[in-house]
Amino acid sequence: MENFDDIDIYCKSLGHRLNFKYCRTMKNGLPCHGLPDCWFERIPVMDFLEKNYTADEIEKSLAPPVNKITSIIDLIEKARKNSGG
Amino acid sequence: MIKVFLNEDEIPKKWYNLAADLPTPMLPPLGPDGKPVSPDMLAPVFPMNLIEQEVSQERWIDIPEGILELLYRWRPSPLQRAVNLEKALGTPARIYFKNESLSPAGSHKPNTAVAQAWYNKEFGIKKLVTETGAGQWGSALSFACALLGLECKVYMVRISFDQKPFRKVMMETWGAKCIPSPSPETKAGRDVLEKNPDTPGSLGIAISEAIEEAVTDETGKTRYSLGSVLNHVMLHQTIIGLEAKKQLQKFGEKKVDVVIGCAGGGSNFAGLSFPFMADKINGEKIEIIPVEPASCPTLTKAPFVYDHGDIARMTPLLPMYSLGHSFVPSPIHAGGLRYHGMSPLVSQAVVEGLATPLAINQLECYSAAMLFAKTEGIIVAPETSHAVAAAIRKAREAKEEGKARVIIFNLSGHGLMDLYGYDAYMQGKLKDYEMSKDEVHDSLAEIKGYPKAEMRKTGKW
Repeated sequence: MENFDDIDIYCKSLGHRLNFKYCRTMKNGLPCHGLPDCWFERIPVMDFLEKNYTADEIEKSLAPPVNKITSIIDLIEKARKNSGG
Repeated sequence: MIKVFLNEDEIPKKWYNLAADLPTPMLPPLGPDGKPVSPDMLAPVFPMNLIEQEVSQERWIDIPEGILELLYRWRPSPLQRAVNLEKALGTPARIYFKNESLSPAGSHKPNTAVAQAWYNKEFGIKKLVTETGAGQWGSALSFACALLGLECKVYMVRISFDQKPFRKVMMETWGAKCIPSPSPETKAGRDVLEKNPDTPGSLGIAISEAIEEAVTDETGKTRYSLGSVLNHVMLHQTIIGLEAKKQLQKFGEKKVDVVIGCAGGGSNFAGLSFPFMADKINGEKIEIIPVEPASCPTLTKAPFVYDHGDIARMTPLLPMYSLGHSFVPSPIHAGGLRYHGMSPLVSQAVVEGLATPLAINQLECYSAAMLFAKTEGIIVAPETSHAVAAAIRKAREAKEEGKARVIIFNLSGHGLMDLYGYDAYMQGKLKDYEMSKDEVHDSLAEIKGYPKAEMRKTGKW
């Protein structure tokens, strides 16, 4: 699991360099959905995923990111409820 | 003459709103239910005066004196002719650049940060919240809030917070509170920390925290601020192009042939180019080029679709070019160009043919940036290097054709806080990445279910 942890890469989303450990853990301990795109030329990324994660975890990891708090509209409704409106 | 400054009393007094002149009207933003978002729905996140700008169809919008007084600290910015670069290229072209790197935060971002902070204060807002990765936008908003005495809170992705301590110091020097995300201060943050206390965070979580704080503040005195994509952000940036037009006149230029800006979320490209686009709409022949990384082909390969404005799906659906909300581009060294989606106004300009996007690989960009640094002395930001590379291409074309073209590009920021990319380039560690058609196809598969935007154009350009 930790074989590639020290290899670094420039993360375009964040705007600075980081290592593979971030990419494999940033989604609540699961890999970033962009892992294959960012790493396929440098490590056997699909092989890594298949060896270290269940099919369900891989599917969850590579799925489009789901929002942590639904949507802005949901948040607005919640704020109104919180304020008694 | 190498550079032209404007006096303070020559600064533009109005912003230019391209939405008023687009030959085809903008499509409305859609909510998650597929229905258009009304201004009231945005009110908990943005003040109404900015929402009015967001939906305005007025061509010219007055810049309040209070904002001008803030902008005078570094504006008008100089327009400089890159005479030494021209000599090195042996080109008959005249290359000009608008130097936005001279703002206190080092980029064009404060142009809208200051305006947004001012409008929020006018609306009675006491505190602005935002998210940041490496810290460019967080720094700009912190600076703006300091000028206006507003409280500012920046949720900085934890790994960035740990690795970019100087950006945090910048924000704190300007009085902002910069905290690592996820934090225990929001439900979004607590939920993540509960599951994984050691999480390094992500941009999606940071956006979620910032918006949650704005929306759930019971005093109603907190709002969220976004530094790109939205119409009012583009509007505030048009001061760049409006100043540049006056400065070109002082250089004695009667006609501009090529206008160039790097295109991430679109704000620095829009800032320089929209005022020139107005001339193009009125009959001028100008080539207007948004430049993007070849590995992040938002404009050059993707179809026009409705997509979410951020990874966390927290902003309303906007009509824009996109590779899909989960698209993560190849690892190129251009931190500011991280939006997978493009500003709706820029998208529509491209659909109309008013702008012709160009994709350039990172090696060509760094080569151009190195030449620019050696000739003009300025180390540009990695994202700005795309504009430099495009300007050099156009200057070389002019040389081949023996034409004295007038080329202007936006020098959107300096790269003094982002030298890792230069180091990697000089050590030969960088590789070029370009998405294959198959990869683009796969990326698009995930947005299949979203409502498609209508391709509306006059066919005039």
